[in-house]
Amino acid sequence: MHAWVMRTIQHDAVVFEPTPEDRLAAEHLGERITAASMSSLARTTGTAVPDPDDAVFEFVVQLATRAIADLAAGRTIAYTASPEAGVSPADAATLLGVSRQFVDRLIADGKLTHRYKPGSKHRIISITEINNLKAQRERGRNGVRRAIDALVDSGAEY
Amino acid sequence: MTSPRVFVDTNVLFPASLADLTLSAAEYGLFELVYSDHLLEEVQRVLVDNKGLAPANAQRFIDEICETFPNGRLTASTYESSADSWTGPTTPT
Repeated sequence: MHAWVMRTIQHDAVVFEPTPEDRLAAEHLGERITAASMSSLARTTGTAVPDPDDAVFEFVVQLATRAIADLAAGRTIAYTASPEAGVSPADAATLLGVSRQFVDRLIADGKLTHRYKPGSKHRIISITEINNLKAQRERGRNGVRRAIDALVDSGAEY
Repeated sequence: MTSPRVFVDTNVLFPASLADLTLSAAEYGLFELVYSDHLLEEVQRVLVDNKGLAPANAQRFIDEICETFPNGRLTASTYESSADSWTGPTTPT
């Protein structure tokens, strides 16, 4: 069975960064899961399930389906109490796989925006902002890879 | 501190390992890559005439640079008007 590992950052954000194995597991799960199968699974495990037409149940299914799709695409997902909740620059650095100092530079360059905690000098960076930057950097890495492939594929010296 | 803007010459794009290093460092954000249309024409010429690459592959390389670093591109007119204001180390004569 695949082991999923989540971690809690600060008090309000539960973050999950999928490994390549997680992505694969999410892809397989996404192919199999439907509202009917979730309902059936919950029944067999004895969990009380609302009517499949119930709006709350439908919401939960949509949420799970979306999370699985994001994980399968390799995107970091985070559960927060508020959509605007965020993390500290240090945690942003962890999520981006860079140093704290580099997060400062990203902020100075305008590549990462931040706000201040109300009544505090502590900076907060939204999870959405971090995910957007991660996606942008992945596109950049892929672009560089394709550029180098164009050279090497045609016999250029590496 | 913001990232420095670096105008690259063609010799930092050959061989491919050097291009890999230069473009990866720029993509990582260590500096902002700046290049001109004139430079791209020179890259195309060197890749095809000197390195023996197929023109289509040389163009693919250039297209990927333009697509990945769209903000660093200087058109011919921008290059002419801004080059005089640049600062940096000079080559001894």
